[in-house]
Amino acid sequence: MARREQHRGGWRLVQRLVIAGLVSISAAAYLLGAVGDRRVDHSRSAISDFFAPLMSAVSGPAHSLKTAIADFGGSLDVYEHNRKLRKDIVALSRWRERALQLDAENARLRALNKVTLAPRFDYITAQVVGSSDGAFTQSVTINAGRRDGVRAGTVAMDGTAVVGRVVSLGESASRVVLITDAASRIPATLEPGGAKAILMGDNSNQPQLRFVSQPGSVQRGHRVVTSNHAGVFPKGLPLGQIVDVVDGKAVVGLQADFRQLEFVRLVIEREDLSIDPGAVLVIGRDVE
Amino acid sequence: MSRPWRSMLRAPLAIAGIGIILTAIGVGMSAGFSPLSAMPNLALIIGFMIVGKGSAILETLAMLILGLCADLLTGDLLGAGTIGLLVGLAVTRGLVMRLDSLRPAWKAYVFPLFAIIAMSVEWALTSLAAVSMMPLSGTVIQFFLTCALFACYALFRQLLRRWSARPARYAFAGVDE
Repeated sequence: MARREQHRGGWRLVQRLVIAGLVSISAAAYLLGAVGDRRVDHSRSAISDFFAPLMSAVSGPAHSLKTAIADFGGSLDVYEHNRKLRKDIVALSRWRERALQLDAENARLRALNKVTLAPRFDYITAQVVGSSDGAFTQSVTINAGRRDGVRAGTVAMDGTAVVGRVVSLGESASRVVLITDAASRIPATLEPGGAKAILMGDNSNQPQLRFVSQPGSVQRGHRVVTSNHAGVFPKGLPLGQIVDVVDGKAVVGLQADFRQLEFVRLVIEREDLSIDPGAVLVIGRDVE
Repeated sequence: MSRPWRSMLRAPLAIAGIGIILTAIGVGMSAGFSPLSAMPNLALIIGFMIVGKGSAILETLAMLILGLCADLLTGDLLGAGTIGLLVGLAVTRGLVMRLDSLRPAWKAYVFPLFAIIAMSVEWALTSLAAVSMMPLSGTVIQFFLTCALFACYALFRQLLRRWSARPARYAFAGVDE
């Protein structure tokens, strides 16, 4: 009897030690995650790579279902849509004329300066195969990785505006943290005026602008574009527009449509176009 | 190997394995829907299924594997969700021991408690790492969505049992303490 009690006591001690060890592993994982250890990113990439085919297989029917629901919803208010589209066509035709004029003017000025600009960026398109709709993280998994030329920090756009940047890179899959994520910080420029600011995500679809260089210049309707002053983002990519200013804090309405995020366009910066900061543009004598 | 040992060794780990695959499927499915609305936390539901399915060591190990994989897959802060699940396991396991005389149906009501503990711990740890309070709205929405999904699952399971006319197995049978 006493031996059985002793054996049971010993087993309980072993059990407690093993459980304490397992809890310590999770605590160590938390600490590694909190300090942003590179091994965590590698593990994340590896698991994303492993599960990417499964996620891709599931996301296809899910996208189809979503499209079917959206189509059904759209068919209910087709009359209203049609009226809005007609109005948009009229407005856009005016803009088209203006764009053509500006294009011609641009071409004339370039010809005058004999400037030939090589395209600085390449684009690749990737499918969104996973989305972490968690309470704390706003990120998506895409089916493009290192082998497609994607790098950590690569900017992702939805076609017209920035949606996020690549933070975790696998061979065939990557994770893009959206600009709405609470951990997202994007250097931005306001247009017009050129004030610098930081667009800070807060897990909502209307992030705020902080650390504005000219706080008094912030006005509703101003455009917010990326800035390259931190050397992370290319300059001038659209983010959104200021929709409200409350107590000096600007709320930004994002231009990207996160509800329709099926594909993203990744902006790959060309390496062979690095320019010496000290370089000067030499203009020919005939232009002068 | 005797049957109880076999079931003890297999059940929690098997549930965790299925849970990881389901979490990956959930992440894939949510890509088709809005990334700006919270989705149910599948790892919590699977984690609750592990409670009472084996020895304390196996349950902790299964919860650890499930939590770490779910954190990596969803992009959440590694370890925060895992610690949340482990704290939820410890509290729920202790509570279930005390509620052992109750009918199994009542034990299903423990899930919101398990979920609220796990999510609160995850929220606190994520806020601590970010050195700022994370927005609570997403957590609250996710909590209700997860509870709603669990209720659907429990209802489906109940209907399935009735349909198959098998004698109901107690939800937390097999607890060895």
